[in-house]
Amino acid sequence: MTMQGNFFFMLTILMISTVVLSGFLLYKLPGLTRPDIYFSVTIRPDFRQSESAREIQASYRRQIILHSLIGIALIILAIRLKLPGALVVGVLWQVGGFLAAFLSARKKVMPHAIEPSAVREADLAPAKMELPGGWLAQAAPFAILMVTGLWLRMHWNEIPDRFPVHWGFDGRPNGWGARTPAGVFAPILMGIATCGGLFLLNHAIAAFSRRIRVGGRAAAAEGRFRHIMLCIMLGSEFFVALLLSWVGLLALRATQEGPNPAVILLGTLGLAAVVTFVLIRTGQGGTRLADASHSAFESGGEDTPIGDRTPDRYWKAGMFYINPDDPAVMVESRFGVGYTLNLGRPLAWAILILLVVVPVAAALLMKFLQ
Amino acid sequence: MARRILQIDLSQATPAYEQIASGLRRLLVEGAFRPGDQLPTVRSLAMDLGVHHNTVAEAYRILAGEGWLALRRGRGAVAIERQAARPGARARARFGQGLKELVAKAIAEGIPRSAVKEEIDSLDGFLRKRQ
Repeated sequence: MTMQGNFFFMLTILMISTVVLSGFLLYKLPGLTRPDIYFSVTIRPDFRQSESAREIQASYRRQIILHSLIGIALIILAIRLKLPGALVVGVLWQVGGFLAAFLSARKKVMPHAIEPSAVREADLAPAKMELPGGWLAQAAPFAILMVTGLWLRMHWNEIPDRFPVHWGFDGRPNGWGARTPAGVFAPILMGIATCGGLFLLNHAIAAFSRRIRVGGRAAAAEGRFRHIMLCIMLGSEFFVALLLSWVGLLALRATQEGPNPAVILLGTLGLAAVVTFVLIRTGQGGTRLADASHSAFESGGEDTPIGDRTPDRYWKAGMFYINPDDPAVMVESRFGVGYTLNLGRPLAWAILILLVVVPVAAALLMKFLQ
Repeated sequence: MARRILQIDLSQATPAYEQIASGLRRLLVEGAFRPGDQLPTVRSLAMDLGVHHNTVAEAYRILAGEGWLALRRGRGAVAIERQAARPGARARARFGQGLKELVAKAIAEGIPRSAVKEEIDSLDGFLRKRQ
């Protein structure tokens, strides 16, 4: 197989695996949410067993399968026509199909919506903010990036005046960096900014999110769920730090050969598969953990469901939570496993800017300084 | 030690800060907090209850005014040793009146008289514990 054929093969595998993995997760999502939340709408838990609920879910899943298959077909077509730029169309098709399926299902569930319980509980025992691995593990991704930066500084004279930073599908370099502080250290700065954003998200989950259940198995499972989410975020920080340190160190390589795509492919796919498996195994708020049966999360004898203690009316399109009166900066996602930002809080916007704008600005800086 | 769970109902007519102050007062009377025990920060309690910071801060101020809590900048609210209050005749009459009104409301809501009596009798153990 030629170098170009090899790259196309790797890319095909990567794109199709992405669509298959995300399709699988999207297919499973309706069953992963809290029992009294269905397609982002608060419902009575017994509604899930009704005929109309089953029909809504079946229709949603049919659409997910259909759009995922179309997405895969588009990717194969793009590869056959040798149009790598069109590969993303397959992924975008799946995303668009999912949005249409989700919004349609949500619309059908809305007539069955019920006002969640207005009873609020708080455990007054001192809440410990536990970041996994303690401050040492939290600082490690930043330390990796800084040591790489220091190494580059120490070997400054070994860096060529012009070095490859980007490779095309044929394996040949198509982007170059110059031996300037901005050109050499941009990947490190981008890594620090991304890890900084992820660290802030982690901190916000630990310190600025609500404990929904108080006492019992549901609360214990929720605690474990939160810990798992924090571990996934920390793992992502390590992934970013190692990846961008590697990219930074490429400046020292005299060769023009690109990094081995198989390593990147296997690493990315492996990480995505593990995270997908963990999310399905955990369920939103820990509802699928072994010691927490679904019944432990139901309203516990109350007439009205508890839900996630956020009012339905503040969820825009069932996905974006905008409630300036809620002090929580992070809340559980309504249709997904994990947390999302409360866009009604200024701190949430600050995190979003750090997470998106700063790395993009660093990437643009790197490009302009080439 | 009693479990430290605070519950409020946002659908009730009673303002949230009064419900928080009332719930915390009950826990303080029950001895769920000892002098020196830290209460949650205003931010964390507001987040768990889903109410505004000012609502919790107001409840803390009420309890601090009654001598249950000390509010210290940077340390939050701490339970303190409270001197036993010396209620006057008016306070006692007000309590008796309030209790009767509460019982009348319970009966009007259909709670059986026997259940009301049972609840009042159960207070005996609570009072003994406080002595």
